[in-house]
Amino acid sequence: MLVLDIIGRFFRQSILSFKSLFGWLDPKIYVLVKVINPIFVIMFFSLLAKYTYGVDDVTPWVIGNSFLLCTYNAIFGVGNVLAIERVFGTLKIVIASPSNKFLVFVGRAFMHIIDAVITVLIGLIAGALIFGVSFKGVNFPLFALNIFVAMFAASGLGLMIGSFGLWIRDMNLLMNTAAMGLLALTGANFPIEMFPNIIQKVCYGLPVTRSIKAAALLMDGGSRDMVYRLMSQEIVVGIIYTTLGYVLLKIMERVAKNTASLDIY
Amino acid sequence: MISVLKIIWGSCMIQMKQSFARATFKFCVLVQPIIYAVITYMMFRNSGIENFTSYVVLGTGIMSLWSSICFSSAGDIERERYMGTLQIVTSVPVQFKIIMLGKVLGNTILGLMSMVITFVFVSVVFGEVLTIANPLVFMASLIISLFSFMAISMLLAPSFTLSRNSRALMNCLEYPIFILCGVLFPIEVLPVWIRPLSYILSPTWAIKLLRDSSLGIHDFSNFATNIAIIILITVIYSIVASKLFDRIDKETRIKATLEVQ
Repeated sequence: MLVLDIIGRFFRQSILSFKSLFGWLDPKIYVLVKVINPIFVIMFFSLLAKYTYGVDDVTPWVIGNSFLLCTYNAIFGVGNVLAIERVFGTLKIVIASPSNKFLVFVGRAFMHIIDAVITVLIGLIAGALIFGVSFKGVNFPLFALNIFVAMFAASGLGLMIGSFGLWIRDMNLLMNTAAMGLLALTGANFPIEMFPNIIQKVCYGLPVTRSIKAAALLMDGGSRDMVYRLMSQEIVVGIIYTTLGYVLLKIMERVAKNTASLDIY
Repeated sequence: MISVLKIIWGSCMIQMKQSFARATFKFCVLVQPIIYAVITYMMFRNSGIENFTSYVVLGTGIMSLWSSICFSSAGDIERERYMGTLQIVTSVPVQFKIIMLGKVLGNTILGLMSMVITFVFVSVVFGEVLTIANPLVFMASLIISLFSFMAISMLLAPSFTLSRNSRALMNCLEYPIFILCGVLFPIEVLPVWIRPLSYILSPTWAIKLLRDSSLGIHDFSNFATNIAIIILITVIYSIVASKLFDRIDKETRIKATLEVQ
């Protein structure tokens, strides 16, 4: 019963925090930011690829940029959680409560993972309708699992960035840089092999890079073993970021308490 | 006249200091142009397109300039309201639109920095220097383009004020403009039925002028026509913006909604 109670509380908290902190109480804004804008992002990079590479099939760019739509949730949603709690005046209550901080912390990201999967699907559907990307012969359950794994890993990065919210007043610089960094370094728009070796290592240290590769393999009917390997590595990347995020959260919490800066903004 | 210029300059200086204190603006002006330059350079590098540096430098510069205008000018009125200073700014014995013009000028000057950053970054890191075939014509084109960006910014500021969802709207106005105005690819890539929308947007003509004057003008009469079109569009934007400001000034006084969040 205790376990069921904890699970129930976890989901209730996830849904409540998602609804309140992400500000999706207005469906018009949700449609604008999570449906219409992603379609324009996919269109922009696909048209750019069409022009620069002179290709008609823009499948790799539709796939890559659809996966990167997760930044709306993983970076801007999860990353801003603590900073918005502060604005609402609820941060001190969250920090002072005797509940399991790890569950509270991960719970803030859970709904974003689900929502990010939906956004990626919107991007892929837009790509199929506008640019005729074909998903014939693709292993859908594995493809869906790959999206879920990517969103988990990306939310891990979001949690790590979010923990800085206890210390940094304005998260925008950090979140925007992270989102743009993913755009440039995950191989969504050009092969990461074009970078020098040292930057390639950074690329593989980021979430989503491996998932984009795995998705490309699934679309081309490439090696299944390679797909499994990439997905397993992506899960490890996600776990590392989530753990780092939690450790950072504890450190930032201590710093914020010692310097009495928890509610300063 | 001199006092009006003094007010515009004063407003411009305050705006630059305030804008640069904001993390988002620092990102738009300093970080974003570099990342955009990396992405576009990598995509253009093996494209076989001649003089692709002009696309990379001018395109990413205009993208960053647009972002800084979008995120700053469009949010300035909302920010003044949030800070509780909107009623003071609108009740001083100077027209509100004059103060806003100063703010827009400040944003444009800072936005121009992003073009310089892109130019320096692409030259130093990638060793690709933007060659300008007609420097004088390029400078004239740049000045006209900046005026046109200021006009569209003046048009956006009151338009966004009319909506309570300005923050979400401004976030959604980047990529459609990048696509419609042919910032990184010619608008000929777009379907014919959508091109009239491109033609009524001044950034389309601004990027055309800048690209032509840097690559070399082959048809001067066509170039002159483009200049005439951008000037005409800029004048129309300015008139509409001025009317919008007048209307908002009147409406907010009648409805007493100036400070309604």
